[in-house]
Amino acid sequence: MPFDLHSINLFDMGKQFVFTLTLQKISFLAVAFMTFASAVAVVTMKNIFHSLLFLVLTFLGVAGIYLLLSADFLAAVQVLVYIGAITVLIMFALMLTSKLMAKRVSQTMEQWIVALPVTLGILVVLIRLVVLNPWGMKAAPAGPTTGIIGTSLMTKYLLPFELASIVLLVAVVGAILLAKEDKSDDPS
Amino acid sequence: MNFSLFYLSPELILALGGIAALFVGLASKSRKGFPWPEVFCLLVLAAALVPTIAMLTMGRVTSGTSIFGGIFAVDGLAMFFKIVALISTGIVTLISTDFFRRIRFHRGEYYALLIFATLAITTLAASADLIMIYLTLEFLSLTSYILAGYLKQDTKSNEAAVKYFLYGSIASAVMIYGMSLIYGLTGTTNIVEIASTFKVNPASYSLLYLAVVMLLAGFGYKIAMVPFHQWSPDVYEGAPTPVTAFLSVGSKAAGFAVLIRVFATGISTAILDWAGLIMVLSAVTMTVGNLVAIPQTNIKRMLAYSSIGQAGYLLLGVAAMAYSSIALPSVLLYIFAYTFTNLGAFAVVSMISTRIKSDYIRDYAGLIRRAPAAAVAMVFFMLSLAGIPPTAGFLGKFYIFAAAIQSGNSWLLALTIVAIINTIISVYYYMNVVRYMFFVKAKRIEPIEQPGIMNFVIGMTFAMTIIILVYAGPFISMAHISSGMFKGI
Repeated sequence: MPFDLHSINLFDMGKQFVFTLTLQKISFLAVAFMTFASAVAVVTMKNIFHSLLFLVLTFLGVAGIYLLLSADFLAAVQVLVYIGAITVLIMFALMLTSKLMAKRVSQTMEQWIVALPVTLGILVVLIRLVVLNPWGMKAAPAGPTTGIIGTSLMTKYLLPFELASIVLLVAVVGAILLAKEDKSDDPS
Repeated sequence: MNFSLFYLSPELILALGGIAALFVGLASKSRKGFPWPEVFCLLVLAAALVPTIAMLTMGRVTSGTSIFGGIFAVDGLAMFFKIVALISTGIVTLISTDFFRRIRFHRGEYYALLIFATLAITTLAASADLIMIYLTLEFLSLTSYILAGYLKQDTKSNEAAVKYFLYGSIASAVMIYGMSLIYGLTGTTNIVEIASTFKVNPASYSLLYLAVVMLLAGFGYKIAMVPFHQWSPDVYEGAPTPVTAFLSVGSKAAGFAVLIRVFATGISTAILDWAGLIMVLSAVTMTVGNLVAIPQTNIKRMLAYSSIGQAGYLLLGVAAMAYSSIALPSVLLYIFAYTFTNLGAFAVVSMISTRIKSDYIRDYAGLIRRAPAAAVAMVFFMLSLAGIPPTAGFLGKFYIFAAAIQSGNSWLLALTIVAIINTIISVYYYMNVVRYMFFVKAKRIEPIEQPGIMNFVIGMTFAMTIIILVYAGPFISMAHISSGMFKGI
């Protein structure tokens, strides 16, 4: 009798375990497929604006993967910064350069024959090494990460956090310098 | 915390000085009158140099400590590279005042960016955390892209900036992937903790090797190591000459600073035997650099390949670090000698090329009649780059080869022989410049104007090139003091 009970319990638990794993697996596969397919579309589309729209989908897929890894803050930042800021910025740049908007251009050049085997080789090596080797690291327990990230940015990583503001300052100065049209009567 | 503020003072001075330099530039729009942006830039660099030298000579930093929970190292190695960065940017500033004299450019922003680039190197030299290393490397790259493209009307300068940017972004993408693998293996980004984690749980060899190769893509790109060197000839040729000088010295030294720190402290040879990999890269780098330098007709391209070759010799020293305790001081001594020599060579090139409007070696014909002092100084810079006495380059090379031979490792011995053969090859193209300057008849013989500031720069770098060999004692002891490294709390 106890033996039966035990086995039933085990069976139930196992069933539950398999089920949750499958749900996670299914959502992972869906997100990964979306990311991968739209990433392929980004580099194959003839119209650069279509590429950009697929890029949004790729970024969304990456945000989904972050969510599956229970990195909630990172997922939110991914959506805000990459989809909200960067793609909109690229969109503005594209719409302001009318030459690029309507044009249909091939994204491949004649060197793809050399590049393909090289990149495939690198891919195989990477997959083999990353999948076959033990990592020795255990996943952190799931939970909200925003507070932890905020605390470490203000304590341990205060220096890089402050330095990043100077990096941004340099980027702003550089962008203005390079984009500004120099008039011939510019005094300096 | 009081101490940490003092330890951080060079960076604070540079950060505030860089921001202030933007305003100084705004205030002095006129090209005539007192050169405030230039003088301010030099003052900021000098102000940052004082606490740096103080920390090195105080002796407290030689054992090594750290602030901000181990992410910012305060040790001899960091101080050494900070000093190199500050001095080289100072010399680059002086070269710039002459180079940009007749060119319309945004002056205040240029000197502010130079200060920020120096800030990037000083923080990179002290970074003991992968996040800091990545951020400061990107900071340095970003500033360098802007500086390389500073001559907006010059298509070659545009090409330099775009090529540098494309190449740099791929290299740092590969590097950050390698960093993510290391983080995945250890769960920490601090290189001291990485070392201690690996000592407790050794990682899978192949995975760690992959991560190291990927890290080398990012570091190797900064030091122009083969096969990550392809950007350097085009960028060196197209960038404004003072910026080329900066890239070939300050930026390269920064790459070596991070390479040495990560491989000496984080992934030491006890964890992964990287010496063989570095030896192969060293042999390939010096051979490719020196062989391709031979057919070059443009002096900036020639110096680009020459600096690739120099990176090869330095990598020999880095590989010897695995076996010999004097290897690190000799690498530092070599970098110190190379700083003055290469900046001197670029000072001559900058002064001559802005006046003869050409970068071709054949246009240096008869320079001994047109600008005798610069020509004579150039001979010594070329001798020093080739590593021939009586110059600083000889001392640096002698020490690196000595460290490699002293280690007793037969592979290092073989590599030293390769390096000696490469040195002999390099004499050919260095002396080719001398041949043109002295023995080829010039088409024009009118003298070239030598402004006082360039005479000062060339004279000072020339003097240092000789003094480092003749009065070597203090420099050798500085290199030994500087090899102290922060290895954990």
